[in-house]
Amino acid sequence: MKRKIIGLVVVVLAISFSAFTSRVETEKNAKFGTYYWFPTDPVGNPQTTAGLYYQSNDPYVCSFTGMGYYCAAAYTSYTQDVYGYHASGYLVLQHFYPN
Amino acid sequence: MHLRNFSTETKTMNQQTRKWIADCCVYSLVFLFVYTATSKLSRHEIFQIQLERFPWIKHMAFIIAWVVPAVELAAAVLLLTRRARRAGLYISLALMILFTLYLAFMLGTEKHLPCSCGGVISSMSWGQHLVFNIFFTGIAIMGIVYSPPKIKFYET
Repeated sequence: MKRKIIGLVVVVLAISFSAFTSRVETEKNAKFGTYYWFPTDPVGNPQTTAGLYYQSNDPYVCSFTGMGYYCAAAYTSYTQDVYGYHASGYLVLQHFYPN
Repeated sequence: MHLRNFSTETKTMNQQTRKWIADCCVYSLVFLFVYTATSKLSRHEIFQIQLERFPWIKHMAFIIAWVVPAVELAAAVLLLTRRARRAGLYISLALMILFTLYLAFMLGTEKHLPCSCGGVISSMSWGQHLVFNIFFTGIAIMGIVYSPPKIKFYET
């Protein structure tokens, strides 16, 4: 009986934690295959932008610098403040140039 | 007589410790599998899209996107079932080895892809994820080692 209760508690905790971290509500609003695109620094961190792209393909054109680097990333959500738009939600796609 | 009692007590204590370690391993794995499976299912479309960008498995992305969380949940159910616990531990070990090998392969290639794993685990880098997987592979092995065998042989 004790084992069953502990097992149940573990399952409930896992589901609750999953629901808390998954941000399901944000994704329900997102259209299938359409994401918010952000330029990234060479190691892949999304940058703050003045404009927002919400589309299915990468809108950023990467230029050749002689070595590979991260170029753009697609996220499921965004936040906005006085500095501009910030990537939020899940990282869905990440483009590595020149791949 | 006194020594025999001491020996029995020590043995019982060791068995209890072993059982406690096995329980901790099992509940850790249950938490991991339920958490990652529900995270994958709650953002199933994204999970499938990410799998479609992976080498080797992209043609089976639709099937894998359902099979992986289903197997994870099945493993969790087996782990919570007393009679099937050992089978659950073996399935957990097989899953963790499979994921770890795939991760190692990903680290060895030049592909730079976002992690398709569930929840907060997706925010880890490939290297961190590999260490995380190796740790839980160790947990599964420890669970198998410390869990009592399914069949007990009694002296006649």
